[in-house]
Amino acid sequence: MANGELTRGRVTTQDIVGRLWNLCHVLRDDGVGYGEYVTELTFLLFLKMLEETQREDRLPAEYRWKTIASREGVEQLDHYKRALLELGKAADPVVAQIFTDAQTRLRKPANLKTLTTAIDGLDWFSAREEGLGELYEGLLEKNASEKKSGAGQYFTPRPLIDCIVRLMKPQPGEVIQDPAAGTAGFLVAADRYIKDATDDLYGLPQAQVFFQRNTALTGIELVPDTHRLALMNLMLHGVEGPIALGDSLSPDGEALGKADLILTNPPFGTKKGGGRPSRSDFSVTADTSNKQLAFVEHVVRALKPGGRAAVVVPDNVLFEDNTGRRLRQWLMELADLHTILRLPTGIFYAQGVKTNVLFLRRGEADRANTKAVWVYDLRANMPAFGKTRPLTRDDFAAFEAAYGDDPNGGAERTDEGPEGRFRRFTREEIAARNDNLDLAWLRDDSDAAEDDLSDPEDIAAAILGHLRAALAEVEAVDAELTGEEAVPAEAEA
Amino acid sequence: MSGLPTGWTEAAVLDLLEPLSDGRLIHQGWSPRCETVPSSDPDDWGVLKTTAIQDGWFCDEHNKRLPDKLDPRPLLEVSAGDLLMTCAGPRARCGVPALVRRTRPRLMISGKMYRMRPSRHAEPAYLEAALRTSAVQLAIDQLKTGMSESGMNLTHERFATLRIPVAPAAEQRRIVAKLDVLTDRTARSRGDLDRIPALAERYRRAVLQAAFGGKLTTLPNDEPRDVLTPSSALQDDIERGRWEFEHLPNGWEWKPFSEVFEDVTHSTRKLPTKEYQESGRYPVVDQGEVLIPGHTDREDLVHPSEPPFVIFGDHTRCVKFIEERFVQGADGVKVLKPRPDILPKYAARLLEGLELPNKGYSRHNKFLRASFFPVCDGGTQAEIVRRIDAAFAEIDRLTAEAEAARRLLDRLDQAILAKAFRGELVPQDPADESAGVLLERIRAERAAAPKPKRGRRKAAA
Repeated sequence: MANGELTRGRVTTQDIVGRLWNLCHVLRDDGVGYGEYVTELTFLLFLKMLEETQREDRLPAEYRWKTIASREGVEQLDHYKRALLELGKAADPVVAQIFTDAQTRLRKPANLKTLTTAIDGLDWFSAREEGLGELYEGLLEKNASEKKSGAGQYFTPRPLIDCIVRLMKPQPGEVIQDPAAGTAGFLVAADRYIKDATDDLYGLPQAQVFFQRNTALTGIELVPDTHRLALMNLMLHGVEGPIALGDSLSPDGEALGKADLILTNPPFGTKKGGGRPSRSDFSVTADTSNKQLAFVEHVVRALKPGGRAAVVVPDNVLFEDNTGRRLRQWLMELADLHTILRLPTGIFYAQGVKTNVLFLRRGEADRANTKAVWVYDLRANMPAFGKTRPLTRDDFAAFEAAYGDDPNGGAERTDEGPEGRFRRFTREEIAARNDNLDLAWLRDDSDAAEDDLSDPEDIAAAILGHLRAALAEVEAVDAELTGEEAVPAEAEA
Repeated sequence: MSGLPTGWTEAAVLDLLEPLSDGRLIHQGWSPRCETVPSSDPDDWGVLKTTAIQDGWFCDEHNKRLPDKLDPRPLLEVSAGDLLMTCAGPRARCGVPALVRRTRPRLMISGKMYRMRPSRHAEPAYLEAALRTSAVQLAIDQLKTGMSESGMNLTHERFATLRIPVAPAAEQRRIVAKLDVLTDRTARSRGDLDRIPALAERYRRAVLQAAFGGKLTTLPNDEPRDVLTPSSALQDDIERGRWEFEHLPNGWEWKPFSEVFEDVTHSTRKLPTKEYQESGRYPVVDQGEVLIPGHTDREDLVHPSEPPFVIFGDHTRCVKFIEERFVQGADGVKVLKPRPDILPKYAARLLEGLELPNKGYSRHNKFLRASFFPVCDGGTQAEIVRRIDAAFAEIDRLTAEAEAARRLLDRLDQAILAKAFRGELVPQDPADESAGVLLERIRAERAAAPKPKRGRRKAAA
């Protein structure tokens, strides 16, 4: 078979992403690690994409793509470094943000040349056809799926995002927030949904168009490099809205303001150093180091009355017995927690966490809003997801049908009984179980599914998942034993 | 009693029991000759086996069907709420408690177990938990009698002397609720850890297949693989070892067994198992799981070739890499020397990765000789060995962690129980009725009840 393309004809985004990704070997040779690779590429791609879309007027003339790509040798590398520095001070605020503290790890001029040549050599015509935003998201996803990069924790799989957005139905005019924006996956998807429904905002009054482009989407991201990727991602999708660099669990989060719709996947893992949220408006989770619980409190507080949210949380949030229980009770008072989706394991690029999606609506009043909770178990008896069996849209089809077409869970639903995946629990039933929302009833043979895994990375992820789960249980026991104050027994004389 | 929390007291286990249907506090069962199969029909009576009683866990499926010609003894029927304890058997199986939380009908206790009923004024699971603490198990152990470790007894009289700390009734319930939550967690944790060894084994196999399929060393979007068809010899019907792939990347080849290994098995220089010594100048290597099962000083039996060697177990399919002079152990050892152009460790890993048909304990040599192996250039061989070693080392580390964690979990469970019975698991509530009051209530109820009739046929065998 001849050396060349496997597929003749139209080159797809996947191909371009693949070629871009292969350049990582060039960078690795120069000491750039997997985690930094996409950031490094982002700077160059950004400049090239501005050229391709005729938006170079946003840049000072001496730092546009051609000024870098046409140079050679040491001169090219020096010019590039200068560009990174100067563009961080650019007049255009988005450019300035993307290049804030921008640095390159490249040392060898030959490697920079290889990159600029390769980038110039991509099929930009086809890429523009598909949408540069798609291209960029493809690159982000590839990065996330390479477990070595560690970027998985900032990336929610696209099929899950799309499912949630389809159910929550973002509307033009709504303020949409992601307090843990990552690479802006949810915000981009919500924006795309609205644009698809309004023929790309055509026909909306000018003021509304401005709103959609600049104010509708808001969010915060904590990690500078990830924040950069988020800005780039949004810009390529035609969104200029402010995504702040900050910590939602600090006063930055209060400053975000209120939203009509919140879509978010807060980061997994515990806050390093066991820090507490530093917001004055937190009451339930003010004293916990459990970040996920704190994010849930943020979500409820940030919703306008009648506002709705979908939040991805680990199992711990559903069963933790101290602060967790208080949080759940508070949540069910102030909001209607109408649906919980138990997600399959192995779908996140971060290893083996058990997660769920909470669908809720903030009440008009603050009392007794949750009357019943519908739980959909998409975890038991599912295939072992991983490299050889990626998550797809179809995997959510049954759930979406059962959820119904009311974003607030009001559509007619049927309890599928003990053998089914969709069941209803009244508030009283939940209270009788000590307000534990870790509700499962199906006999789970997913261990058998694990036996079908064949890719070493998938198996390693499964092992780590079990270790992590085992550890989580023991941590819970530890918290029970030590968290409870005042149990020193009083001895009799 | 000093040291006990407020409201607690110490009492005999018997003081917490309520009378059984015939007025007695403890029943010992009946051990007739039974069928060897369990009673599968709830209408057919069965006699419980001691294996039905495990540490804090009762399983009604462990029973033997009562032969039709024998009449059952309904007095001995087990019901939910009974507390059982084994009273005969090997030391470790004597004195094991289990609360019957649910059971099918028509199962009788055997002569090797006691049945008692915790008072309904107290919390039955509390009594079960108390009997499971290591402190009480130690006390029980000291009450056991018997001539040999495999046949111990716990007599009724001695059991009656057993005492435990008793909490107020309300606190007993709180303790049990908390214990349930915690042991639920540790059980889940155990379940997760138990999955790891099997997954680790899958991982090792997956790594080997990926390595020898060229997936660990070639780049993802590289040139498409040449469809390097295996030798036309592979189109025949001969049974041989397999791989999970057929195509190799550019630059690799399929080599037959004879071009990868030289069989240097010695026909006469071997040492029978019974002559293995604990220590000696030379290691003995055989086809068992253990790398070096013994040593010897028999210089005359040392294998004449130079190391390194790849040892293959003809029956066990075990693969070992040996880098020193050694003596062949018992039969079934195949000693292979990698050919000069194959890195020895690469050859050893190749043999580990080959999936031979499993013929049980028959010989596998002929399948091995018919097999083909994927071979690449020297540099890539070295890289592959490095990758495999690193991956295996990592997974070994994880497995060891999981095992250590598993052992710690058992200690955690015991530590939790101990904490509970020191009164430190849940807070005391001064409003609770004290344990003393509880015991008095039980005592009074028993005093008012009808006495067991004298001259009753004894239930014990």
